[in-house]
Amino acid sequence: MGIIIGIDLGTTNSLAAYIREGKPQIVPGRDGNLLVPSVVSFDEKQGVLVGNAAVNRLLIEPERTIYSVKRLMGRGPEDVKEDMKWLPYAISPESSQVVRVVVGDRQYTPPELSAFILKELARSAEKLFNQKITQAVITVPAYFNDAQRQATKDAGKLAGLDVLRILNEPTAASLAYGLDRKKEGNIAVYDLGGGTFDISILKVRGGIFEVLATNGDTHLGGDDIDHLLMNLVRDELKISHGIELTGRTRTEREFLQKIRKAVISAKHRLSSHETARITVDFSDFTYQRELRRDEFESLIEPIVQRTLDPCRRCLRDAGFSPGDLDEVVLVGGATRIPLVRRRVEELFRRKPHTELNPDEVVALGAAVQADILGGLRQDMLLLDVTPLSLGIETIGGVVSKLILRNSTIPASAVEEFTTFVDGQTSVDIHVLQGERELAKDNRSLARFQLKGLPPMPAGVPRISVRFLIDANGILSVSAHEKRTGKEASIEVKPSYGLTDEEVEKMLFESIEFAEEDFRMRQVIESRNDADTILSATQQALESPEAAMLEEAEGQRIRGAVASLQKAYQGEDPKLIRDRIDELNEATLHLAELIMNRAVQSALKQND
Amino acid sequence: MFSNPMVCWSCRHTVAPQDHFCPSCHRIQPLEEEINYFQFLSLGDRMNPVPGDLEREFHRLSRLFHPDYYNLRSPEERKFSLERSSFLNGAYRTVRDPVMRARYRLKLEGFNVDEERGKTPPDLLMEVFEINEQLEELSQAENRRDLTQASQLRDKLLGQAVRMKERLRVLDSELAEVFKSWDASLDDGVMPELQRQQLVARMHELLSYRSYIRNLVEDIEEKDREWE
Repeated sequence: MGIIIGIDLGTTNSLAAYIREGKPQIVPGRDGNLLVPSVVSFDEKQGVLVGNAAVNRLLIEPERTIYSVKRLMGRGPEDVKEDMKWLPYAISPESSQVVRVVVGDRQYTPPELSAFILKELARSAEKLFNQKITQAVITVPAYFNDAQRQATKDAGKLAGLDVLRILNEPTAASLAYGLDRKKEGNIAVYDLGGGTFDISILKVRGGIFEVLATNGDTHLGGDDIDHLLMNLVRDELKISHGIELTGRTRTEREFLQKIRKAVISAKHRLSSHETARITVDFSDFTYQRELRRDEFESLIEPIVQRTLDPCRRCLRDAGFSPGDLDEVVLVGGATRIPLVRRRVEELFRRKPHTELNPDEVVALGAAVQADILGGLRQDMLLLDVTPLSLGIETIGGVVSKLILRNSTIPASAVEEFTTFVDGQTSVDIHVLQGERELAKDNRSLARFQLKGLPPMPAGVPRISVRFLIDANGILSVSAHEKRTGKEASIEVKPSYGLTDEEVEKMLFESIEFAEEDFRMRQVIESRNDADTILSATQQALESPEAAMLEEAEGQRIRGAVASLQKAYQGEDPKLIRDRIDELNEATLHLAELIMNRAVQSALKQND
Repeated sequence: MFSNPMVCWSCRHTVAPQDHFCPSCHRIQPLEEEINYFQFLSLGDRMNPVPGDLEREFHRLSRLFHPDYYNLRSPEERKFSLERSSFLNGAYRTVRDPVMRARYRLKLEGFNVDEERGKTPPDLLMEVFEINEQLEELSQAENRRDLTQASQLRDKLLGQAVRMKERLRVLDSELAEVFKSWDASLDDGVMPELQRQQLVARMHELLSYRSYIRNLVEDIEEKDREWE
């Protein structure tokens, strides 16, 4: 049994954690930092860069540098229109069930991009443990729907990881807190991250962490605050300098990234200072502005307010009033903002806990869950819920709910179907997630087709379909015809996301590409070595010792140089290496002569 | 799976229908279709569990079945753990809520209790008539943009909702009484068939009445939300 790591795959930062002597610890990134920025950059020379190395390229090559990819997970192009106004990279017009990000002449889906981040985290862990990492627990926002969870699982698979559990972020945080404090009672976890907001209410008793209700908004977070501030700067630039930044040209995209960097650092400063300065250096002038905390707060108030309604709904679903809570815990970087803390305190009428680092607590909790799944601890058990009701479309486009939101998972429901036409051999089932009455107002999850039913008169077949939401919050469907006892075969068409076949194909291609990348690196390295020996040989041939060589020996050296130069043009690293070895051998005598002279002159100097 | 007598899928030892685990090899067993929520939660035939006891039993069984503890086991055991824990979660969700519990009991007794609105109970006729009339008048007042009258009607309707909710509380305590009589009768030994039928009929009556009132309250609350 290998090591299972816990991974917090965040909108802004990602990190991995593991358990050492019963305590969760963060895996340091390969550059020594604990947080790995969730940024992937495709550099033509250096290949794929992840983390801080990629962040530096946001200002240089914004259209080849991908951040906030989590906002695109499990979504269609229609869902991300608003995000694409801000993001410097483009999505392909061919995107349909899944968004495709364009990088040069290639396209990447969000799971593929996330896989680069996951691989980086796994490599850091491999470096730390000196062994291969193949298993992980990955966290997601509690309010993620089925497609978003599935996309995260796909990302893990593409990164070569067996994802043992998709875990909800606020519940992961509660595990870390529970471990730390060993306290029992009712807890609310308020989690405002870079791109998503979650609220979960749990009851902790005898090591059992039972989620009573969860709510949230998977499109609300620190990114939205950045956009407000960027808008402020953009509007002012228009008035003061007549500059309009739409992000259409490359220069404009670079400018926008400069503004983004400046407003983020101002935002961070305002958490501990009353004022901050926004400074952006453009090529011919510098934009400067002072931002006071009260200005900042009135600007972001609407965003903070948007988190409060889900909190109220969550309390109601849990059957609680604020007085029933024993603790409120804050998670996510955006909870460092004083206004957020004030509003949370007002709503829940108690001071929130902030003892654990809000950036790290989710990964730490994921490591605890990894420990549980690894069979190493049985004193804690998490009972989580499904955030959204699951239903099927019935006559008139109305949804019939099968599993209600906040049901403890795993959860299952059995529904019986029949045929409407004589001899009908297939039945279509449209599965949706959401709370609304009409199918069109909910999130389409998948269309299932029950096939191969024995032909019978209309209404006679009794097909029992079992819907199961597993402990990851992911749906699976099985069916059998009750009269014949025959298992019905099911064809699944996910409404958003990749099919299993597509994931398999990507996995195959990524291995092929990895091989190709590896070969290219070998070519580059052998060419570098060839450069060194060629220039050394050139110098040696100009030395006085070269004149002392036999004619044949000189010709042999020149011949070896020519064949190395020829091999250099090709892309066969082994051939280049062979030619380097030949040249080395041919110049052995000449090198000796030069060395002798060097030794003698050194001796003379010492005399 | 439904062969009789039942045997363990792994060691072929005899297993009783209510056994979660094989008494010999202790492996988790597949779920039997015949088992009901009450039996599953170790309540036997009882209707009135002590809330704390019910939660403790839910937690105890969760620790036994949860997939988190079967990650390293065989595919069969993982499948059965998933079956049992999802069944347990459904059972607990149903049994902990008195109305859902009663509805489930009625289903076991062969009644089909759905959410549909049945005939108006006679003693409610006057009030239902009044509420529907006020709802209609409220819509008309809104169309006329007569805010004063709309606001008066709204207050009246909210007053009705408060009274209806009071009725729901009374019904809930009556339902609790039925549960108590049910269990008391079980404690005396075997429940006489006639008494069982009477208690089931009473539960059915209370539930229909309750869902009728519940729908009325929802109508008013929905109208109130629209108004806001």
